[in-house]
Amino acid sequence: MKTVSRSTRYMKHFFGLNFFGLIFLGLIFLGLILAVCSVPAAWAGPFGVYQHGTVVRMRVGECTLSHRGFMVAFGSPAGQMPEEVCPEYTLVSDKVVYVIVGRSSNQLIPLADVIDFRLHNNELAVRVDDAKHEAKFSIKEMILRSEWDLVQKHITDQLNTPPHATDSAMAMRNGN
Amino acid sequence: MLSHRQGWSLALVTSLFPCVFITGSANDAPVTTYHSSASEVSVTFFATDQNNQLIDTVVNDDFAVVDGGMVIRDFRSLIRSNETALDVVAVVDASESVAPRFHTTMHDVLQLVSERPLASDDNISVVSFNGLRPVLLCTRDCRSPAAGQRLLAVKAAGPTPLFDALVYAANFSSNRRVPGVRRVLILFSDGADTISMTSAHDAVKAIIASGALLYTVDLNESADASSGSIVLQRMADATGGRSFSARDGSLNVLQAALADLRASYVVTYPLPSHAAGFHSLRILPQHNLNLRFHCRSGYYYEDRIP
Repeated sequence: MKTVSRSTRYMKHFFGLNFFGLIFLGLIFLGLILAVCSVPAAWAGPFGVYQHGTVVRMRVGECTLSHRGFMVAFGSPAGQMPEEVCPEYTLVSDKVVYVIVGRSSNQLIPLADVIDFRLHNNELAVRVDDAKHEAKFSIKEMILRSEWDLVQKHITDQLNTPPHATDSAMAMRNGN
Repeated sequence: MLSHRQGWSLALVTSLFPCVFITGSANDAPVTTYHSSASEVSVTFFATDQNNQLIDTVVNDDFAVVDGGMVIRDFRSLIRSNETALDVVAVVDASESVAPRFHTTMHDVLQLVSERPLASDDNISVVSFNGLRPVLLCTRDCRSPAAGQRLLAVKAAGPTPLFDALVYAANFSSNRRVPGVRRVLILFSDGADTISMTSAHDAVKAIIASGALLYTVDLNESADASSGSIVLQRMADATGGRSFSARDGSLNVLQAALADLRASYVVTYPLPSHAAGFHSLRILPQHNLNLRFHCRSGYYYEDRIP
């Protein structure tokens, strides 16, 4: 108590504050500390909610979900301006598999083993590796990971089935 | 760059040889058929940065291969390319559309031809095209005075069979396969085709099938990207080559092709899909999006020999 009263005297001496003034000053100081602590927390907010996923497929398709444009390509008949193509990625996360489409032909995702992403305003924002910015993609399809796994297993089984086995099965079914 | 089609054909022929031997020696025995299919893809590539400068060292973690839409990160091997020399076919547009600067272009081609061989196995041929069909101006003897006179005698006139000429050059180059020698087509053109029987798509397909790389020298005067310039750039990209402007100089294009050769890698990985036909191919960065990987845009896979 003696220390407190001495410090009170010092504060009165230097700042001309009474006891309530000191309480008020302390609250302001506490508020400042909380504010300073909350700034990085708010800044890190988006980064803290990133999910992780892996791009397993990539193709180029029409930019149907974003804008339409034109670009000359050599694959089209002369005189026609084909539509711009956009990259389309299949992004697999723990629970959900997303098919996302870029906004332009040169919007690429780094194809690292694991990428960070978050959902934001009906779009999927991908953190471009260690860069400070995100790339935003339109979500074309979403499917539960469990269902996607089943579909993939079915496709794999189909591909691994020899054609003659299918033929003989069909022949047996037809009674030949 | 390696030709996958050729590699697989070789493997298939090798595997079928015992079959031929057996059937030839015992006519009464039942015909035995051996099936064989490729199990590995081999892709030659080089990398550049955002300033179009070659990247000398590439590691597994730098890139992923997108083969037919599937992302592949696990590779069987990543080694330096063993190609050490160039076989160059200069394909020169001699049509009316490039007439204003044709004299300069031919001067560039002569400079290219007269350049000292970059390696002992380097070779160069020149094909020109206008009118209805391409013409082989010289091969193997292009540095001789007689060949020089033939080159200077060419006049720019007539329509532009650009894509037909590329198919011709691709077939010509394909017949000159030598192990360890990279085949390169250097196209001098404005990219404007007017009379070809084949399409640009077919021309690119022929070049990819031949295993050659296409380097283009854009003869358009304007710095703005015209449709012809875009066609040239896209065709070069599709074959794993690069596109240049006429202002860059023909010798620089040759030097660039040689530098690309020295900075090339070969990556191999298991065949991701046995679907017959064309498999699209891209190499994309895993981390640094400023890196650009140059490789052919795909390969042809033939599943089995019946």
